[in-house]
Amino acid sequence: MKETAPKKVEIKMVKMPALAMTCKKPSNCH
Amino acid sequence: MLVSKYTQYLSLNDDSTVIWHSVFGCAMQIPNRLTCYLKDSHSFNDYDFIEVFGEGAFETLVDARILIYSTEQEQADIDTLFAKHNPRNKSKIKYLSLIMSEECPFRCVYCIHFANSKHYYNKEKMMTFEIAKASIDSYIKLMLENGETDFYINFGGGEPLLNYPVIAELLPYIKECEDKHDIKIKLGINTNLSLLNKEMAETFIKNNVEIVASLDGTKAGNDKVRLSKNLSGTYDSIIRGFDILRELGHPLDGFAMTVTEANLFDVDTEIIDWASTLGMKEVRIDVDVVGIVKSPMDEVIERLTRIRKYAKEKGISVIGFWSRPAENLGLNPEEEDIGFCGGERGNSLCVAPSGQVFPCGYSNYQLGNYIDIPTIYNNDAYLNLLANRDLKNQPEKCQECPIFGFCRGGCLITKEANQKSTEKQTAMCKLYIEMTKAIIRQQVMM
Repeated sequence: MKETAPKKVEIKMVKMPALAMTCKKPSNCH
Repeated sequence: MLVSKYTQYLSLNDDSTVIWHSVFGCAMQIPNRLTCYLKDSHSFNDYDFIEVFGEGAFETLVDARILIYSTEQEQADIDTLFAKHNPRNKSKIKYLSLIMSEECPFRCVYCIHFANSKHYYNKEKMMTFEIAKASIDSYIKLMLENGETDFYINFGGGEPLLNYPVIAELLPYIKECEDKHDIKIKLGINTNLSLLNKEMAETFIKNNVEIVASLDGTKAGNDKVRLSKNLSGTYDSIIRGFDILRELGHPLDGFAMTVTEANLFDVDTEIIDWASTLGMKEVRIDVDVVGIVKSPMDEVIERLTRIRKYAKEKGISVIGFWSRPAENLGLNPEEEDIGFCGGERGNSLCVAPSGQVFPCGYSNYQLGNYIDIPTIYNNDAYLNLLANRDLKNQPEKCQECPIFGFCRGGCLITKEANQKSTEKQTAMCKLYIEMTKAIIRQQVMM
């Protein structure tokens, strides 16, 4: 059987920055 | 099998693309031949997909909800998020903010307190001990009834140090509450530092009150926008406050700054160098949420992106409202209550000296009065605030936005202050979308 394309593809998760929960802003902005 | 209409594509290069679901997130880098397939295929057979791309890729994309079996089921899954995170008859309150003073010795050109808050005009300018105490009591009771353990009380304003005697009276009372209920309450104060003296600083240090201050860049930039009442620069008075804290062995580990049309071109990497020499770890750079309409947003985006990258190499995090959608994109909406801020999520109660309660200290949307706090989460005003969070109630342009589920409509104050014009909101939409894309690119390069 003829192989038309590679069967595997690589999917990499993108690590997003952590939620900035610091007090560099008023409490309501958390 | 269908490709979700919420699938977003960010081309990285000739080889790969980052894709994510605009409600469920899960950003991932995929090869472009898969991108082409997803973009071109309206519907397809599972086996055909697996034959070409493999079972692993299929399962990953199904888990990420990029591949779906029906649009109806997808919509039903999205609708369950609102009910899950906004339950009826249950408090979502987490934070209490006390507006200690409506007044301020500063007149920063972008100040949203003076630009938007109508409660500034109330005759009650200073928080009384009685209203603060009653608010704290109700807040603690509500938190305890709800099984919450992370207490947070913030002293804000205006400038809270104008009302320092009441703060000094409240601190031992809060300690009494901690002992009585066997809880720990995290405390913070947002001050411009201009009135800070050694005695106040020592009191805050002793009581573990985290001090949050702002400085709008170097002297040249700061003194264009961060002005005193007589419109002179405030840089020296702020630095004096920084120095008092450093001399007491408690230097600030960061600060917040605001970008406006007046100081945009003064905001650059040299402020990061300065922060680095002082051993700081975090600089918050916000874009004026009410003004800054005419300035080229492309310039703002380029600067923020460049400064963020530069700071990261020096071990300093640069954050702002513009980084929130990207931060949210890393969360699982089925587990986390995704929101733009505590006010938007309905987590915050801000009590003004008049006793009025707002979701944000700069808002005019009144949730009730401080005496209502024990049941405020069942008020119509509070329930309306939550109802506005339901994704199915959002305008069409939001539903089609690449960060639909992660921006949550943005800052409440931007919307309140710009009800008659869409120009500002459009500019902020561009900022949040483009900064999210810029952050994704930087994250991939890491």
